[in-house]
Amino acid sequence: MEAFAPNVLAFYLISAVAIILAILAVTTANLVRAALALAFGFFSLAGIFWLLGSPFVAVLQLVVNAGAIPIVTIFIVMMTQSRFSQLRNPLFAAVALLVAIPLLIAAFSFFPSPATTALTQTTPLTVEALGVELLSQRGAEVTLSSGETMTVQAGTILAFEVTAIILLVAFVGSIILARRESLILKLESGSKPAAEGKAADADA
Amino acid sequence: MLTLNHFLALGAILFAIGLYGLLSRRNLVAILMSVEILLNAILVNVVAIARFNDQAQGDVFALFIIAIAAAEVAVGLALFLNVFRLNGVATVDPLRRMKE
Amino acid sequence: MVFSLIALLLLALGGSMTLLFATVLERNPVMTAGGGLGVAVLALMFFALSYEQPGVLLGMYQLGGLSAIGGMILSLIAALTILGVMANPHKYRAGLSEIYALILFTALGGTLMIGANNLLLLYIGIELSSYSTYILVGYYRDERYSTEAATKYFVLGALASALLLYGISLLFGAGGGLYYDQIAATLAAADTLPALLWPGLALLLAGFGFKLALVPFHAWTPDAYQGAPTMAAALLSVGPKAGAVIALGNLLTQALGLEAISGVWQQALIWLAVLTMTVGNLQALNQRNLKRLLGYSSVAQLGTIIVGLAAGTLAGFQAVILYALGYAFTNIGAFTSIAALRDAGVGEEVDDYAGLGKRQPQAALLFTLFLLSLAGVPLLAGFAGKLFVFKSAVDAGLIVLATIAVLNTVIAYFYYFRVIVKMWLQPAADEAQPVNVNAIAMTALALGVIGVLVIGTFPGPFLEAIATALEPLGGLIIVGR
Repeated sequence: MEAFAPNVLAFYLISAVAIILAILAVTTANLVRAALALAFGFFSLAGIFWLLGSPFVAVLQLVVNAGAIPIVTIFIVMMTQSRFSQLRNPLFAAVALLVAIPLLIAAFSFFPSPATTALTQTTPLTVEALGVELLSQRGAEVTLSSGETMTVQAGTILAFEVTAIILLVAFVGSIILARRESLILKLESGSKPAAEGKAADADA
Repeated sequence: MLTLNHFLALGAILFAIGLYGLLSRRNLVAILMSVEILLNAILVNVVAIARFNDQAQGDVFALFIIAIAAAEVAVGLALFLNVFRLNGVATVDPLRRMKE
Repeated sequence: MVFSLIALLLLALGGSMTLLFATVLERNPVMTAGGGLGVAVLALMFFALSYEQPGVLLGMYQLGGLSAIGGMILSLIAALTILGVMANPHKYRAGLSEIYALILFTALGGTLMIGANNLLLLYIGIELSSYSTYILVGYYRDERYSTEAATKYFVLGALASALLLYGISLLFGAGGGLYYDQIAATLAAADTLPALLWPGLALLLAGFGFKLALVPFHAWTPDAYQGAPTMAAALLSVGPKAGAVIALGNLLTQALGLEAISGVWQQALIWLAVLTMTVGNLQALNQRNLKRLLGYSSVAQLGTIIVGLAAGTLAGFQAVILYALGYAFTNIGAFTSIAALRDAGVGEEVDDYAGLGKRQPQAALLFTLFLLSLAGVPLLAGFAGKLFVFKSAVDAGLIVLATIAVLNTVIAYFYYFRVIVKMWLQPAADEAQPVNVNAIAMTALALGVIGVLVIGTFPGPFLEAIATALEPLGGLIIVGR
């Protein structure tokens, strides 16, 4: 029947896996296991995005959220020698519930007639359309390779450019915060490191 | 039949789990993992709303969220390395020195 | 169009170039600082030129008018902060010049969130200014206090961003789009307001509450201010906050100005304002550390600013912007005084300031003026801001709120005057040695005082300029009473 359609089953299966893994990720004392649970949890969320008809976001989820971020996290777990994490007061679960309940109620009261918004009616987003949305401005008329013309809804080129600056800030900022101090002290005191001074002279 | 409500509920549950982790963990790296869960809950929300309303805006928004979350991890991890270097542990426990 | 573009590019490329040249050229603190200052001042001028040129940049950013004024305030903040850093560049490892780039990027982030006409750019602007300030707060990487402050600020900032983003995602669902005009149109056309709107609005306000340090979301503020490098605290106390408060006003009036919604956010803002002013002032009363005291004082000041937004009228928004401008001069001035005196060997505790009036009368006089402006004494900028904010609240019928705000101002007098009395009437603890304050620091302080006096004495032209800038929004603001 309708209730056991493949995509419904897939949704419940993936959601259950994602939720269990997320719970593991925030409760496991061993942080390496927690990071692993996080990676697989995000991996399963990629399935949700694929189910929703947004394959590009699914792939990005696999590459960045399920791939890069847990790896970096495990690196830092090792570098800070913090294999195990203790818990604070479990009372905080109450706070989390307090926030979650209104959100759940809102989630279920939105769209009172779900018949109008079945997932099967949505069309998957092509990567080309996504790229056009990302790299043009709102209201522009763009002809796709298929010959259709589309009107750009989002047009986020400016945000795209600003994101480059955010990444620059994060990049430079991490270096400022984590760089070894000896080099800085030498520069501060005005005396160049010997090797660098020679190189500069040679350039001149 | 799948409706938007299913996906929003998944987002809300994940958000609550992340929030619990953020508040209950002592280790800073674990806190950062909880922040990642929060951001993924939002991703589920945004992509679901975008697809159900057939609006590419949301998918584009999701790309930005992923990129900015990665930048956030970079800054956070650099900070936590510093905490570890100065205190020997990367937890919230030594961070109570300033209260007079 | 051209002038705004130049101003934005100046901030963006100027920041990047500062980073680039710092690694390529000689590491000369004066040159890099001069470059940073030049970029900020030029950006200020170009924003001023773009004031009368409305338009839309790449569909996402509103030019001219309000965003020009926001850009001017943020560039001014950047310039004053850089001047404060220049007074003692070695304290900020500024030979390496990243600090100037981060200050410029904070200003850019603030400008972008003010001019944003959609939720995406708003979020990105907030993140840009947040990331820059996380790093500035943790800039003293070998000092435990600085790292502690940065970590607390980062963790709560990340939580705030997540709440804000969740709110944005729900608002996106309720409003059927990311652009403010789309959201306003969808909500206006809806028979019943979507249920998703309310948790979305609540989370949005909570996220902004964290970023603006409103009670009960203010726990990070005093620690972050105390531990941060002083000029970073100065920037943190005004830059992202001026940006976020104007952006919040813009978002609430343009996207959520519908009467049924504005009544709700007005009520929420009224409660936030009352709590913030009262708790901030009461906690400031018995602080010993001056930076911590200013931290709590800034919490209370933000509460007062929110009163103007809660009024929900054009006059209220106008007063908010004037307040933010005056507050920028005042608070950066106060922090620069602390930084300059600290460099000259005076501690950061209130007790260290005993007898300062005799040891260093000029700096003590300027610091006193800043404190008086924060307290809200007539003819100074703080008074003008408070006066117009309270007036707008009264005009909007919020008599009780205005009364509470005035009572809070009286409480605030206690702690500001405690410092002033300490400086002028109490003898110094040890032998009263004269204190030498750096000439650049004195220049920065004098500029700050000139700004405070001009805005305090002649607020008229500023108010008119702001009113003209807000005119296009006039049709969109719907007053719920």
